[in-house]
Amino acid sequence: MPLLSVENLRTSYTSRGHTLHAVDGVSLEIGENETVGLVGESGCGKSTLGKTIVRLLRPSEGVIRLNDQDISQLGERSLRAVRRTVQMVFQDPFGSLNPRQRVGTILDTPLWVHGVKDAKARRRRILEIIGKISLPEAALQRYPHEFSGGQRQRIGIARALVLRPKLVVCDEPVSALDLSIQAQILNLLVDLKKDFGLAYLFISHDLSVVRYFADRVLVMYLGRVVESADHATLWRNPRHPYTRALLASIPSATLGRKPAAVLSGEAGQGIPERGCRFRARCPVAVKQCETDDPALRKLPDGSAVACHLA
Amino acid sequence: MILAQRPHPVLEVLDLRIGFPQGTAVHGITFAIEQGTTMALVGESGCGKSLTAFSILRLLPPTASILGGQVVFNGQDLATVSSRELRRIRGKGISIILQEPMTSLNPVLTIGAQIHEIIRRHERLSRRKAKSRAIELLDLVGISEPHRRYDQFPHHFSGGMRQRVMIAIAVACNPQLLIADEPTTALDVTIQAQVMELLARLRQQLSMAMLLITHDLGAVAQWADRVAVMYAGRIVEQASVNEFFAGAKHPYSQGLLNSSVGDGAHYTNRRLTEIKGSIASAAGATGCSFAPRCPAAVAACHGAQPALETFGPGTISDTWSVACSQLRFQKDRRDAVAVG
Repeated sequence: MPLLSVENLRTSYTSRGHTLHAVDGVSLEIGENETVGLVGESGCGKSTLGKTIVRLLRPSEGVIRLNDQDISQLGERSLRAVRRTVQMVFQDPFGSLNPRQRVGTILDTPLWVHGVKDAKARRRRILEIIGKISLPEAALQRYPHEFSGGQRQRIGIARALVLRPKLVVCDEPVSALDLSIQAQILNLLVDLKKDFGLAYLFISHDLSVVRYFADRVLVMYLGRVVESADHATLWRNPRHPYTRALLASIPSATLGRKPAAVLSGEAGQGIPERGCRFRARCPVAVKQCETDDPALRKLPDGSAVACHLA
Repeated sequence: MILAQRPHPVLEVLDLRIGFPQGTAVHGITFAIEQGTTMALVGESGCGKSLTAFSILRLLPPTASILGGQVVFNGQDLATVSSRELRRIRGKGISIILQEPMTSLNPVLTIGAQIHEIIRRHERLSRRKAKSRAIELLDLVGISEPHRRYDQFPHHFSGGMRQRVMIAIAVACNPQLLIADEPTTALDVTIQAQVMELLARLRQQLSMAMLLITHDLGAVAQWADRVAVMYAGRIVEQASVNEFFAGAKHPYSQGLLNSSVGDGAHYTNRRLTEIKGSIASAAGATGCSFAPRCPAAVAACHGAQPALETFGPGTISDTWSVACSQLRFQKDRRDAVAVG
């Protein structure tokens, strides 16, 4: 039984009577101790999917099963128990910490809220986690603005882990950070995964980071998962034309391998009513792509792809 | 004789220093860009790379000022030239593309009006000719239906398309030098490749030189000819792209290269190399500003700031140069090991 299983999830935003399905029928599974990477361009629904899984958003359809319990429509009170198991790390290390709370308070609050009423026990847990993220005990007395971006991201990670969750949704955890700091945070996440037996849903627009960090990768395009494969298969044998284009556009720090701008156009031009959502930009689209919307098909090697031609 | 053979640099920056009331941000940097080549300025946020780029056109924020040094363009020092002369150069001799395509266009003017403005400012063209030139430019940067697009406003355009419009404005008067400050950072990966390819094509077609400001080493490897690495307001290494990627010498450059997630690396088979600490640790230090984070630092590194030294014939701006006092020592030791 997987830790998390999502079936046919749909999350919609409505504004002025117009409804947009930002996540439009996504199914996925995350096993214990597994890192699943979720990549896609801005507006593809990857952050919405992450927020729906931690239930910061309520899905309009579908099932989110966590340890076999459906949490998709739970109310705030029942969700509290769920949040002990699922936590989130946010992209912006500046906006996601309360500037008026000391780090000690930021780390203490989740424990208090989740019923660790013994002050000594809370203190012990906080000291343990602050050691894991390599900050000194004195940091607990300081305010977020006294730390650098990388240190603040560590504090955000500590806040997510202080409850010892099983699954952490990381929404672009390193994209706001400089290269030398990115490496520090990625190494830290790897260590924490080993120490605490964590599973991650790692959301990023940066394929090279996902390539490094994920066991299995999901590629999203306009609200749908278009390809799912384990990391080695995805890089060796990408099947969806969109995945191939994404891979080709990474500028590699190896000389003489120019990235190719295979795709024309941009994703922001709206979702077509019929047919494949990617066909307007697809270099290999055929007649069938205009009329039939391809479903995500399972392949013999365990991957899945949503393309008529793959 | 060597002077005669060497193409004349389009831009020479000599010992440029930029400061804020709180302190100095750029501590005397020197580089040159030769005709038709791309120079990349790389470094982390706060290293002074964007300040350097802005200072070339004197577009510094109001509190910042040029404390010393020269910015020589066509024999003129832009740091001291009159504002009137500077206006003639901006957009005509040197153009700039900014990072944010969302905020760098005027939202209440049509795209056409904004391209038209720069053409009419610098060229003696009638309104009608200027309009047809603007439409040509939209076509050149790959915007379909340029006639219709000419009368539209920036909000009708997506991020990638706006960046194309910015590029059209920048190249409207065939500048000799194009400064691109993180031109693709705000864009999606597939769009990044499109925009960089467009810039490379235009650079060739219009034989421009380019100063590319970026934090992305991948972009440097693919699109630049020379690279200068900045750290805490100083250039710590300068080399041709081939030399740099074959074997960067400065410990900071090596750290940057090793901390990026390279081809084929996976967390199960390779741990990333970290650069300890953060750039903030450079503040107020007396010695080498990278010493507090440097894995190779010795006591001497905390004493004096190392100068950029050349490793080969030529000047700082056309050969491989590195600012690290340990380098000679390391090189000797490597040779000794090789012999032993």
